[in-house]
Amino acid sequence: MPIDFSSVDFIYNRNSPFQYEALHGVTLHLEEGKFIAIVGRTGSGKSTLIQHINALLVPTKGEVRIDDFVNSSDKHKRSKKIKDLRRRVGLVFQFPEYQLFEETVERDVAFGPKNFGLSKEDALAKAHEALGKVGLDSSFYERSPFELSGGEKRKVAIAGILAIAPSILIVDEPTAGLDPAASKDMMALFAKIHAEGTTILLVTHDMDLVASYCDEVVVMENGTVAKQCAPFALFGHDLSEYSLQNPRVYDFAERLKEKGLSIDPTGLRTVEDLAKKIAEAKG
Amino acid sequence: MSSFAMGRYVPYDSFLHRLDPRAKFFCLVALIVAVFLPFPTWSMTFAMEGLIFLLVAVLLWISRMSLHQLWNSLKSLWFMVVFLLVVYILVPPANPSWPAFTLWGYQIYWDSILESAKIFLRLALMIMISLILTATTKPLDLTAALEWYMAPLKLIGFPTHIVAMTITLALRFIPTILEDVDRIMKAQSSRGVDFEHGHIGAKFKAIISLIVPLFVSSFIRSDELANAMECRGYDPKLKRTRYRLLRFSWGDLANALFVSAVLALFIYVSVTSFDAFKAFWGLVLR
Repeated sequence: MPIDFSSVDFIYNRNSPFQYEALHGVTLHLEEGKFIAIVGRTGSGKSTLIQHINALLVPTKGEVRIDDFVNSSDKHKRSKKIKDLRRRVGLVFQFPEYQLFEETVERDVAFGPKNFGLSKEDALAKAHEALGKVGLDSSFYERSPFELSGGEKRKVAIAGILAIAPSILIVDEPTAGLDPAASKDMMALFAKIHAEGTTILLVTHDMDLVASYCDEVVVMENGTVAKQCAPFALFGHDLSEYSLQNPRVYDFAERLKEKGLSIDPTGLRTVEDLAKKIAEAKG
Repeated sequence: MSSFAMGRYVPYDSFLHRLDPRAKFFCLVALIVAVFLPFPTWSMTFAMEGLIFLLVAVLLWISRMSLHQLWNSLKSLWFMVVFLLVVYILVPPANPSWPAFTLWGYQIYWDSILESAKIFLRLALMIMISLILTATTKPLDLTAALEWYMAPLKLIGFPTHIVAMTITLALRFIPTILEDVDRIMKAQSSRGVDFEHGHIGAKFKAIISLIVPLFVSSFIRSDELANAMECRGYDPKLKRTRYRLLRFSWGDLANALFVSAVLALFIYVSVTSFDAFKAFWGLVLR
C-alpha cells in the first residue's frame, strides 16, 4: 500500500492562543514494501506525520492517501472505513507499555485482533503467534502484563500490534530506553517482519539504525520534508542542521580514509561490513 | 479529541487577567451568591438575573473567552433542562398561581416552566462565572488566593499550606492527565477500539481500555512526583516563601468594592422583597 501526502498542513489547537502549526505543506510519496526511516529533531513533526497515516489526525489542509483510503481535510472526500484502515496500518507509539490493560498477556495481545472482528479462538491463536515473534514463550501467556519488566512489557505491546498483522507497520522510537541487546533483538524483529513483506516506517534519532536497516530516509525539519533519499545519499553531509549525526560506522570509515586507507564508506551498513572492507583494503 | 480542555487557563492579557486573584475570587463568589438570591416575583427574578447576565456578558467579552468553548460547556446542560422541565411539570407547584394550558387533561402551570427556566439560568450563570475565573487566573495564583482566604484557619492548626499544595498539584496535573488520555485513546484506537460508536458492551470495554492504563500511569506519576519533591527537601511542616508575591492595588480594591455594592443591592432587594415594577407603576399611576 503506497502512501501519498499532498500539501498537508496540520495545526494543533486552531484559533486559540495555543495554536501551533506542526506540519506545513508536506508532500511525500512512500512506496510499498520499503523499510523507511523518518528522522529529524524533536518537534520537527515526525509524530504528527505518522498519526495522519492512521487517520488519528485529520489534516487541516490537503490530503493523505493510503492505498484507496483518503484522509482529507475535506469532509466529503474523507473515507469512512477508518477501522479497515487501522487493520491495515499498525501504529506502535513511543513507550507503548502504557497501552496494556488486560489481566493476562495473551488477552491483551488478542485485544486488537478481536476488535477487528476475529473470534476469541482465532484472536488467541494470532496472539500466540505474535508473542512467539517477539520472543515471549507460552510461560508468559497467563501472566499479568503489569508484573513484567519494562522490556517485556514493550514486547507485549508490540505483539499487540503485530497480532493485527498490518501491511504497514509504523514504529515510533521502539528502542528508546532499552538496553543494547534488547534494542538489537527488537530491530532484528522488524527486519524479519519487513523481509516477510510488511512496509515499515521507523521514527528514530539513531542514524546507526538508519544505516543498518533502512533503504530510504525522510528528514523532517520545522514541519516540512527537508530531504527524502537513500540513506547513503544523506550521510557524509553535515547533518548538524537537522540535529542529527552520521552513523558511527560511516564516520569511522571516513576517518580511516582521511588517514590514507583506501576505503569507500558508502554502503557500509554494519560493523561487520566495515571489518570486511578494512580486511580487503589491508589485503 | 483536542487537548484544549474546558476551564483551562487561557493566557491573554486582559483587565480580568491582571486583576489580583484574591479580588477576582471574591468578586466572582459574590456574583454567584447574587445569582442564587431569591426574589419575590417572577418579573423581579428575571430582571435581576438579567442584570447579572449583562454583567457576565461584559466580563466574558473582556476576558476574550471563546464563545465556542462556552457553548460546548453549556450544551451539556440540555439534558438537565429537559429533566427539570419534566419533573416540574409532573409535580405541580405548591401554590400554583398561573395556569398555562392543559395537556391531555393534565393542568400545566406557568410556574413550573418558569421555575425550570430559572434554575437553568442560574446554573448557566454559575458555570459562566466559574469559567471566567479559571480561564483568566493561573492555577498557581488561584491556589495562592485560596491559601490567603484560609489563613485564619491557621489559628486553629488547620494545615492550610498542605491543602493549598494539594490543590496546586491537582490543578497542575489536569492538563498532563488529559494529555495521557489523548495518548492512550490514540494508542487504543490503533488497536481498533472505537470510542464513539458501538453497542454498550463494546463501549464499556473501550472505557476499561482507557481507564486502566490511565490509573497505572497516574500512580507512576504521583510516585515519581513524591520522590522528586522529597529529593529537593520538601517538608510540609516548614515555613515556605513565595517567588511571586501578590500585590493588592487600588484598582483591585475598587473592583471588590464595586462588586460588594452590587451584592449589597441584590441582598437588599431580596430581603425587603422590593418589587421594582410595582414601585414603577405606582409612580406612573399616581
